[in-house]
Amino acid sequence: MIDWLIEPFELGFQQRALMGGALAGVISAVVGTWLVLRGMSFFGDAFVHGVVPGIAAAVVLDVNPVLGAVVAAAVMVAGIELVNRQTALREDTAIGLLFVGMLALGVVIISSSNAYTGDLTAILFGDALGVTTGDLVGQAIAGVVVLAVSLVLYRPLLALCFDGRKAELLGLHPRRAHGVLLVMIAAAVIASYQSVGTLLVFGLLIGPPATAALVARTVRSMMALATAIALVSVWFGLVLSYHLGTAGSATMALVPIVVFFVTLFVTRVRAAWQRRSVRA
Amino acid sequence: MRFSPTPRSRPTTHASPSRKGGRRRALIGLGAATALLAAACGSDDGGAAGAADGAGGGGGGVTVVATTTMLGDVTGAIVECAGGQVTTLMSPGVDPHDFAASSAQVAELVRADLVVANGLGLEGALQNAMEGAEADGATVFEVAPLVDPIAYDDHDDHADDHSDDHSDEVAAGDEHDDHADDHADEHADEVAAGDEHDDHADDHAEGVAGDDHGEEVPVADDDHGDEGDHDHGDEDPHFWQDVARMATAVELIGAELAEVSNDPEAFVACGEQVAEDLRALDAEVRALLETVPEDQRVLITDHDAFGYLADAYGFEIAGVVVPGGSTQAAASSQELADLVEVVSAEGVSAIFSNATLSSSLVDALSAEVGDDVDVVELYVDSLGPEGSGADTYAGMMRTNAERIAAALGG
Repeated sequence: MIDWLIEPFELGFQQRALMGGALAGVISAVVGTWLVLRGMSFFGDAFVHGVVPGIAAAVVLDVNPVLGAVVAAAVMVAGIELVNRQTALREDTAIGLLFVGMLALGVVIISSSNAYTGDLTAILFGDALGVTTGDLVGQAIAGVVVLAVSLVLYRPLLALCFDGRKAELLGLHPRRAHGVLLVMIAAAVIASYQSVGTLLVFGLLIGPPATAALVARTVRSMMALATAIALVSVWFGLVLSYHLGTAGSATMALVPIVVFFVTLFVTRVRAAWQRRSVRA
Repeated sequence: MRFSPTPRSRPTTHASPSRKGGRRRALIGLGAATALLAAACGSDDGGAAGAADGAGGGGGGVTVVATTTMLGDVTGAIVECAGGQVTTLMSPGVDPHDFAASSAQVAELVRADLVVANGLGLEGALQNAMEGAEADGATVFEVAPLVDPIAYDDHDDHADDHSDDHSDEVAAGDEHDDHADDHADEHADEVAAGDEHDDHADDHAEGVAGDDHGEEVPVADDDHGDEGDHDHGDEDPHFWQDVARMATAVELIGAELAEVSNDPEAFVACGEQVAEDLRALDAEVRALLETVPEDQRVLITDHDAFGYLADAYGFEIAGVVVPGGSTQAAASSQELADLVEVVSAEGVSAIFSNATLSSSLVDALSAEVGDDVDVVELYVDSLGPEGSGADTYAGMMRTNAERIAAALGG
């Protein structure tokens, strides 16, 4: 049994895949906690698809894909803000417009280049087995920044997530905190997409914090628990992927979702059991 | 929508649980999930070949991994003759352009004595993993760059884009000295008159011949090898469609295997033996294709994979359904319309589809051009399944040649 759990990490590339996944897991769990509390999951979903045209354009123009992703992220946020301010439409409509628009633009860019060997799935699902040391360094830097910002701006972010108006009264600048949160989401996605793909980043942003929310009592414990769940998910996902011969990133993305539903089931059963015993 | 992190939307009768209780419940949940998943899969070893260290068949036992089915077949022939074992990553029918390896398979790459790969960007989705394996000590031998690769052509009517662009066609290796000299002369002409440097031309020749044909895959360094730049003038990786080039490749593979084995003579001899067989096959394929009348030697294929076949056996590529040399691109409606135009103008009697990759575009094209044009399946990037007659490299090339000859009135 121990062998079964250790064997998938004997070689260098496997260890790099684990490191890349683990870093993505830590960053995503921290940022994802704020994302889930703020109720911005749909924005996150739009965001991970929104960077696709930037990455595709960067590959076609032969510049650094990270730069392309940053530009696409900025365009996406600016577009959403524009629709928000200039129309009476609600934010989810603005996000939806940009989501579809950016993803379609990505496919158009990819198809316009006659001999583009990469394709959409490479961006969305990543290439966990091809993580380089350079990727890991970039992720580690982003991770340190995200953790530091989360600690320093803990109160403004907390206030933003629970009551924007109150935060305004307390002088905590909710708009500024919102901007910071957007930048952190961007950092999480852009730092990790090369290792694990944008969809897995999204899975890690939502899955572990949502699971932690079922049982945690404070934001801090939710964050800690989400991080633990993310790390276990990444590790176990890679173990499964190795033994079953399935795609690494997709398997990693699946584990936290399964864990969520199992946890939900267990907590409901327990609650029902406790109600029964109180009545008895 | 706001939501509070505690699931207390409904008032419960018991006192709110302690934080410790919450954590314990999370652990129970996690444990249950783990057990569930573990139970679902047991502990099979994922079909991996596992132990890859040593115990080969014959005296020079080597462990080799080949990427594509074509390379797996010919490498298998060498190893069968000299001793050792070959694993092929891809199964018949898999598209090498988007094949992705599992973790266990990349582990095999690392542990093998030699990895025989195609290169030139054919294994698009495998590129990063192969580089990772190399960083961990795998020896990857890429064949395509070494067999005098040809550049992708523009198959529009104006192929002149490329005609004045010889620098792409200068290949490393001695056969092309004359090319290099041409260049040298051209360059030498640019040197100011009165400058008499005898060795000048040689300098230039070296500079030109060496400029883009090292033994490396042309992958841009700055984008993690994710995708090489695939612009025009990039080299075509589909070299196996020319049997003579495959024979050369087999000799090179034999020599490379000799390097890693403890019985070098056997591998060199076996490489030459297999190459001999392939040269006989080359003659056979040529004879089959020569039956096609001159004015019928026009190919329209699913993607740009038949440049070598056209080059070696005297055909012309009139058009491709999926633009470019990868299966991963998509055609625009105008490109498809142009192709319909080409089919009628050229009066071709058949278009060739990919046996292992059904394309709705090919179907659309054939529906558009009407009943008098047949759609004929060829084996393009992969051998056929067991019993298809194309389950070996020789069978694949023979089958393709027979089908092309039959379809084009040979």
